[in-house]
Amino acid sequence: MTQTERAWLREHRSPAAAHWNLLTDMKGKHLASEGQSDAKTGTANAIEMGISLSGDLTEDQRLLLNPAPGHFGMTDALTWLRSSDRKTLRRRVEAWPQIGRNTVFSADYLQLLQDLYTN
Amino acid sequence: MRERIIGNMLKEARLEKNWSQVRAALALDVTQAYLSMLEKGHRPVSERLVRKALKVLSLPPTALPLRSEEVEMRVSSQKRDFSAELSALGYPGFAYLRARRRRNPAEVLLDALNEPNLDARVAEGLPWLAMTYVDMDWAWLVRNAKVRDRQNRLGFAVFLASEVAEGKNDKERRESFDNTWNSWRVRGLRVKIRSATTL
Repeated sequence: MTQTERAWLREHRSPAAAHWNLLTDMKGKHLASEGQSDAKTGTANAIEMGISLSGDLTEDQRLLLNPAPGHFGMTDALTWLRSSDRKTLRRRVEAWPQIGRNTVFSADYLQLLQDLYTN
Repeated sequence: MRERIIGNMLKEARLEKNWSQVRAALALDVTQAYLSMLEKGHRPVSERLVRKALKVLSLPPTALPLRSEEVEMRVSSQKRDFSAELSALGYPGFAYLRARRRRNPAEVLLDALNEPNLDARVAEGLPWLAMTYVDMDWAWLVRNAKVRDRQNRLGFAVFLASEVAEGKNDKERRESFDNTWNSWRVRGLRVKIRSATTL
């Protein structure tokens, strides 16, 4: 963990995390509902699944998926995830072939992600 | 002591199913007399039999034997797939993973707390583990957490579990959880280490 991350966590951690002298942004309210947790897990999995499926596309098909108006690349999709999920997913993405990393998502799909995370 | 606890768990699981000792013994492939001795804590229960009882009598995984300290040091250095282990114990966040051989929840929790770079999604499952298996062997867990200076992580995970139980309005579980935990808090888990660590 970088010094910047440490400083950020030290400033934004919960009182309970400070009490236990831990650097984490995990809070009880994030874990309060199993259903919500499932939704978040499902979202991360859906992204991963979409990318793995795109690995079967031909070069021409993949070109059709290049970022275009109304579409977003992987980096944008990851910004909808919480920082902890984003870090995990980013690590996995690094292990994927280039073709997977170039996957793009429609605006509707990103709206769905946003709904899952804000509700 | 351990024999008696497992014996009680066996008996409770059998009565929960409304099974006679004869029927349960048949399902477990032992004699009724031997099962009676096991239930009374007069004989140690082998891991093989506990695993069979997990399937046949729906015995909780907390009945699984905890490994000894010597084995502990060796095994804890191995790389573990905590997401699969949580899945095997029923954590809904990893329900999509293929279940693997179950381990005692106290062991899984300790190993995860001891992991230097724990995956964030696994860390989120630890409070669930503490909340779901409130009957785990806290004496063993607290002792081993203190030996490894992991009492801060354990304390925080337990605090979150308590918050989750409160958020779910699960009064019964919350009370059971608080009673169990408070007895250990009094015994000194609040001793904190100085350097800040991550979870």
